[in-house]
Amino acid sequence: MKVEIFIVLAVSLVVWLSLFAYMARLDGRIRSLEERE
Amino acid sequence: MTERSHKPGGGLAAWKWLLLPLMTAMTCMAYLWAGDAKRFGSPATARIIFWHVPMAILSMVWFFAAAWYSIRYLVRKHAFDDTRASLAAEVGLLLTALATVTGAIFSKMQWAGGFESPWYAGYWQWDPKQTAIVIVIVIYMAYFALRMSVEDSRTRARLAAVYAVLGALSVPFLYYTLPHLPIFQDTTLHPTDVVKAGGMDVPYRWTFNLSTLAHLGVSIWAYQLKVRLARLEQRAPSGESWVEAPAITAVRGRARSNGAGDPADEPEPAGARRNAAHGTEGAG
Repeated sequence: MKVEIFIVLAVSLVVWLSLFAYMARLDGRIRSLEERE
Repeated sequence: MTERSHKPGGGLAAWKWLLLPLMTAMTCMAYLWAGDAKRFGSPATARIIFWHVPMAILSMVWFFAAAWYSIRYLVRKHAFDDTRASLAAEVGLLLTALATVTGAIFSKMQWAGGFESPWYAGYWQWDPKQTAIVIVIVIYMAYFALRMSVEDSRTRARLAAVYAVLGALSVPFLYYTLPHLPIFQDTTLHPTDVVKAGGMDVPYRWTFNLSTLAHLGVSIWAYQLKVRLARLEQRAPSGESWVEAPAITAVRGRARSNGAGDPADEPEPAGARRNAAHGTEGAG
């Protein structure tokens, strides 16, 4: 299989995992604000 | 799906954690299992179909959700239904924009020779579906322009609700009916038989379905975050954002103890106009 496929796969996974981490962090911050009420 | 689906004092809800392996598996399947698409001009890059098509489909779903909450507002007159409609339209517009961008990349790769054409060429062919998606973007940008142009929250909510319903009615026509009209069959570049039954082999079909499910989950999570944030803003003292409220409270306390006038007599802070864009100025 071509090397380019693995490079693009790696980039796609990095993008997705970064997005997931960002949304999880945001979710936690919103939750802490909700619990403060 | 609102704050009921998060665990107080705990971590992320289980369905959100499930999105991590779901999207990861879909990405790996797209590159390692699905293989090159035999019937496409550029078989290797046809994998973008696993992102482009689900985003386009889900954008329509979110525009329907906006119409649903708009109808609920028109019936129940609850201000938060209007907020939900606006937030659903935002998610739909984001997905439409992403579908347009991935579609433009798809266009260059499939219809313009990919890297053989100049770097600036091939992204736009005025294909009927490409034109249709631009019209959808303009329709929903006008929705937000309408919301920002009306001061009174009730009038804004009513006008936006009617507009959202009409907008949602136009989307299936623009996405499906228009590009399949007989007059466009000679000029359309989009294949018409890929997403239908029998159009994909097993690896492609499974990856496509998983991708649609994963993108749906991520968009629901994004929408839920927006709704929770809007609910927090609504509960903050009028005219203050939930970020500034504690600091403002402290300033007011110090001002009173110093014998100064009540800061509540000061002009309305700029935060009130930002809250107005999402119709969060209290109930009614």
